[in-house]
Amino acid sequence: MREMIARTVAILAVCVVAALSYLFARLHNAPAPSQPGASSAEVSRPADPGGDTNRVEAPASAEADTGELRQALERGREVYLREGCATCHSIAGAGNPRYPLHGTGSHWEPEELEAWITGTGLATEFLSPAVVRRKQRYQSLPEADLKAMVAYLSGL
Amino acid sequence: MFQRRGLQAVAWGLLYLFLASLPLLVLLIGPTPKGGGLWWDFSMALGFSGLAMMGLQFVLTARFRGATAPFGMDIIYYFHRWAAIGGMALLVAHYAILRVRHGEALGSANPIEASWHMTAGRLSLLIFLVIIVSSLWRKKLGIDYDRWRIWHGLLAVAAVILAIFHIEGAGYYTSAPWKKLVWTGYSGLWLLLLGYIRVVKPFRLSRRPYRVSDVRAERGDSWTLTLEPQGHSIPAFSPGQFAWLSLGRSPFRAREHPFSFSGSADNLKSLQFTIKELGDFTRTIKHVKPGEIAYVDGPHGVFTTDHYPRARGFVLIAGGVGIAPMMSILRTHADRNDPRPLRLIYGNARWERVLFREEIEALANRLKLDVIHVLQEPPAGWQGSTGLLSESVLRQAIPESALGYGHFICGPKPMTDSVQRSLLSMGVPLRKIHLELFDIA
Repeated sequence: MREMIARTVAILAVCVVAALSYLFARLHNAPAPSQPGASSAEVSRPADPGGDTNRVEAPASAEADTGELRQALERGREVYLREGCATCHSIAGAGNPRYPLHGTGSHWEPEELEAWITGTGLATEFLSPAVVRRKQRYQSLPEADLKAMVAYLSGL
Repeated sequence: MFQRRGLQAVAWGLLYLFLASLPLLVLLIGPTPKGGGLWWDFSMALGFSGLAMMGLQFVLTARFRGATAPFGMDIIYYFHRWAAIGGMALLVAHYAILRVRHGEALGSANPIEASWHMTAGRLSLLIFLVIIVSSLWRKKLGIDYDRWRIWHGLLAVAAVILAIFHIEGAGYYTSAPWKKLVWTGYSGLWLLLLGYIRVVKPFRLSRRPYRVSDVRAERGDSWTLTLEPQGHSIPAFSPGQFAWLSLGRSPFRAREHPFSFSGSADNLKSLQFTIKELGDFTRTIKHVKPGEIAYVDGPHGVFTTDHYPRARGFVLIAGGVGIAPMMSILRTHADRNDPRPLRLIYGNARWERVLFREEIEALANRLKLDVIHVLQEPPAGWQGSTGLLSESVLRQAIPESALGYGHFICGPKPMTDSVQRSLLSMGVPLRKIHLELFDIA
């Protein structure tokens, strides 16, 4: 009986803590209050399903006649996956949703992207030292892999 | 008294819930980072909460008398066990949600390819699982108690440290410097607590040594150790309480075992423990020599008649060496000339193995004490009760007028479970049933 009491209290505690965790998640994902003059689409932009593939293929067909760029893009995607970039970033909803890479290509020049990936340039100003250190590990990537990843991300 | 303890129990329960949810509350203060999706943030929150519950396990086993008093040590240890399972469930849910909803974010499981903080998280989860399996099935796995106890502590520290690294590495919610500071401080408190248990407490014990003055053989492969304090007074204890005893070694070696005091609480010169040969450690008791040094961490527990000054009387139900705390109660009541009626129901296998039977007979002359021996293998011509301490035996042994007394049970777990069920069925209120765990490991 006393063991049952202890077990019941422990299970109740777990349920309360799990409920608080759910509440925490709800609070974190509550819709932001709409700003005057700002549409809801501007405040919260939904993920672009399938945008990954479409956007990767678009520059390939538009800018390269040969399969060379397409190969580089595929290699870039492989490098992205192999290096575990998805533990911190997401593309088309796949991976860590905190730092989506959606639209990266339209906002960044390839040189800026390369600097950011390898933890140099602007990255040192805007990111925490721990993240910069983690990114600087990618400086040891083979040049071709780095270029391929930059090409891949430029297509997003 | 009962009402006050009930309020204290609720207060400690609320404090536990507050501490378990503190990480989430802290992370919600101030500007919060934007959400990563309901499932993502739910998974992260479960991770924080699961770790908080695992960290609080250190508090549960820190033997804080104030915190254990309203519950009793048995409930604390049962809660420790179930809270570990619950905390593990939260951590598994944290991982499972990510695996199902955001599998890519977990990256490679290969430690060479994976980032160190993800590997730390995986290792932590695995170690927590090992701790739980090795604790729930220690005996079936044939793990020695002393070895288990040392590894239990070491692995728990390793798992918590790895989990803290995991969170520091991920660092999203704790990116604000003050939040990072609060989170690190909160985690550090658990480790400080462990330092208190493993270093500060043993240091204090080392300043209060005892010397074994007598090792007396008792019936039924049991031994009574008498310890005398060396240059200090013995701690005031209540009859029925227990202490953690370490023998002949430094108190820093974490080889200590819980035993009930068996002597009178009014004896201020020495402490007595009656120990039966049951395991690796207890089998060595007979080899202890007078003069050896011992350390005593206690008293602990709420299994004592002293907590019920208004009780009209007490029913003591013991099995085998479960008589040890009852002897402390009987001897103390005799020393105090306590006039309240006592009824001792004492189950044993055979008559020649009945511990303290001569002294119990003598005490019956000094106290208002009725003794009912119950034997599984009675000798020829035995007129008393036979068999196990079943409900029918208890119904015969406890008159209706004694059902309102405080009922104290100590013995092997199957016996205490069964006696507790019988007493409830006979109409004894749960609040009047008190248990001492025979084997907490």
